[in-house]
Amino acid sequence: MRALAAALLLCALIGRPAAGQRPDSTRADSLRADSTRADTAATDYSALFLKTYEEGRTRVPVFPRLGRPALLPALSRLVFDRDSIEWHNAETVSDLLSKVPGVFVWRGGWIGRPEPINYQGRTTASADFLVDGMPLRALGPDSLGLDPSLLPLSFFDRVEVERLPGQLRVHLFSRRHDRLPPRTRVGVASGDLQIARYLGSLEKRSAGGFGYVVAGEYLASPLRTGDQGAFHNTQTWLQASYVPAGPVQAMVQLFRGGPRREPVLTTGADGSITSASDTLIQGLAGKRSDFMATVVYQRNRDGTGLRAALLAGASSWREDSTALALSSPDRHVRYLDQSVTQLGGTLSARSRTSSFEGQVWYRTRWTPMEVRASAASTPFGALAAGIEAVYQRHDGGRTSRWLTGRAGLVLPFGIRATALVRTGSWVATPARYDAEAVASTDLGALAAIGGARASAEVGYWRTGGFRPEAYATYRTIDTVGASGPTKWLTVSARLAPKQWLVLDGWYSNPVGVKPEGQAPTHSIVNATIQSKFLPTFRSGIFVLKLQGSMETWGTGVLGRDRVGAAVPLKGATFFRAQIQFKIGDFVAYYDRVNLQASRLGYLPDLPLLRLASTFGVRWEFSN
Amino acid sequence: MLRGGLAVTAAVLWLGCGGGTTAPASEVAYDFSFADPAGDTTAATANPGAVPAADLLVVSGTVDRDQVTIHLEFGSAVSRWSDAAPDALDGFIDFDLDQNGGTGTQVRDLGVDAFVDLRDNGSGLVAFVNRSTGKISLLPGRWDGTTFEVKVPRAELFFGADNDNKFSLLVETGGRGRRPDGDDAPNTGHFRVQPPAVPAVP
Repeated sequence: MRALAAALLLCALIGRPAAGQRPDSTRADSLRADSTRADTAATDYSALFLKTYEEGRTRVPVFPRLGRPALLPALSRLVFDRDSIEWHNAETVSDLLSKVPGVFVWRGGWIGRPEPINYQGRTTASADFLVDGMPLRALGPDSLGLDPSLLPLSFFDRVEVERLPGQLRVHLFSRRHDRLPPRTRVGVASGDLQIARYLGSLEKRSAGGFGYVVAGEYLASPLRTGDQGAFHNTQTWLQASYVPAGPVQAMVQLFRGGPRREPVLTTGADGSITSASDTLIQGLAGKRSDFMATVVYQRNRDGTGLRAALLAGASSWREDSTALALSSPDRHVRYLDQSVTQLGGTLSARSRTSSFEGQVWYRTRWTPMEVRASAASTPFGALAAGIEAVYQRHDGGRTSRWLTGRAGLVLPFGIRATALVRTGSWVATPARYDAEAVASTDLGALAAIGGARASAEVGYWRTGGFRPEAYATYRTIDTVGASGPTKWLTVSARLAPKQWLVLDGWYSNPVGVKPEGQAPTHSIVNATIQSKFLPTFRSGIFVLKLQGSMETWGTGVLGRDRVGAAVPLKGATFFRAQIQFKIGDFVAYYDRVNLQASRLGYLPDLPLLRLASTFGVRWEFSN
Repeated sequence: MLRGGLAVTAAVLWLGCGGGTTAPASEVAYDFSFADPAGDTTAATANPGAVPAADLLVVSGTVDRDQVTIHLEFGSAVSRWSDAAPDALDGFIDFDLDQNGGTGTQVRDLGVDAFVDLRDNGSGLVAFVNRSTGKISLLPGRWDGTTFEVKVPRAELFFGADNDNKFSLLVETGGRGRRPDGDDAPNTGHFRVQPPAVPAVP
């Protein structure tokens, strides 16, 4: 630092002659010393600002969002757009999915720990993830279930969650920049245990249709000396696109991530690790890359008409330390370096009242062939119905085939009702060679009433018997017991008695027998005060948000240990608070979890850090 | 400069030590073989896929200066684990290198110091796991009709002070999802692999 200061001082001295050395101010050619130089005078910042402002008002076409169903009945899809993502106190995709009634996040602690989700007892098969229409496969140490907390939330500006009985289908859409001026986004966050999160992105589009994105996100949770489970992850995203005014558009993008997490072991009474220590959380060290290339033919910008798309993807996981690692007590070696290549084609047609889509996929492993066909119609505004048929052929001669049906009604007085059914036989975890197709019929019924000020939704679900997989990352929970047919009740509500006060939350509980792995009587309630202070900030540029959340659940069973003994889930309640203010596109926040300093956690022996807080800023602007 | 010097020194030392990949010249190559009774596969208590048990008939091999070859012969065809076929081979070849049941992982009366995991990686490679060092090496396996063969470099098997050209062997084989394993050889105890006794000089 001193050397830098000295160098700067030296430069300053060199660049500025001493007074005694200054030339005579009355030089023969005084024009050359004129301080109002020609190039300075030519920079008209007002004109530049106005030009940028005008360009910013002009929208340019963006690459279409693929993969999501075109028409769905009410209540069967939850949408989080960029504003919602920014506004929720979500640090990760898992955090965001906890807004879906019935999702229990298996949090291994605080930020940096694993956060796989469990929805209606399906554990690793709870959710399918797609990025811009490309299915995202679990790879690496846990090739059965994807940990959503490893996905870079800041790279996505829209998340759509299809709700099916016993399964979520999560569509993640990367950011779409629809203006000519470049968009830059920077963010810095810190918090307890010296955690650090840095993010930055640059998006640029040209009038000719070319565009690119360069983005990065770094998260580190180094922890204190002696603590276990330090984590860091550097994720990058590169995208190039060509979206001209014509019907053919193309996009290639590469997502890369390098998570590294130290294992977490049990400790003795004195907090030390011994040779008898057991692994609570499996370590993680590798690099995942997902390359995607898509070409779309689409004549109409509004999504109607014919659309054809070709998709190609290559995903891989490369282990940092060794190509493979020893696994569970069965002594078998798990081969962690994995890759899968996908080629897909879709053809869809959409009118104002109906849609059809067909998809064909080829993959190099686990599910070499997949065919999907769906049709939906809304013959009149109050009714929407659709059906989807899926056929999959897996390695080992196994097959899955099922039908999904949805129908919904919109009635007067804000009443909406939707029925969902999924029936057939399917292999829940094709990556397991010994997993066979199981016949099942899952049902769901949703009813809601209300509008913007007050609304309530009740869901009643019936899922078939299921044999869930345990999460590989949690080594002390060897299995999760099979469940029989289960009924689920979910309730969610939102009440805004004043414009500045919002109460919302959800409740979920299995009715009767409680399946293992899922927290019973689980609920999350939020109380939010938000104000724009309009008398002071009349433009509406300022927003302040204060939110308090409570998450609670009852006593249950998480799974079984190696000798088959039940691993109990203790009932717990956690409080969380967030303060956030926003000035234009600048956001600053302070988030604190486990406010009551509970020694409990979501999983046994993995307590949630007490009074843990993060704070940071995000700023998005046009250059 | 320092790194370069260290690299040269390390290279010289490595060359001087000869790499340790072969046995002492005094040790002779030898073959070994032992049979396992036909039709002695265990009854399955769990067999969701009705997988037929592969009947292990003969375990044989060669110990030479460069490698140890293990050859398994079955009563029916076997295939790679990654083929996900009903006859896919599963199991372990267990080595007790120091012939000390008190060291290594306890399997029967063996203290298993190293083993070959018969499940392949999808490319025909099986893992040789050294429990002592934690090192895992991928070795090419050969599935050919009713036989399976793998060659383990001596450097992986005999290391440190244990360079006596002897080890104890146990083979456990099974099928996908089938419990317990289909067939073990030998059926009890273990097989001791050692050079043939040198005839006494008259």
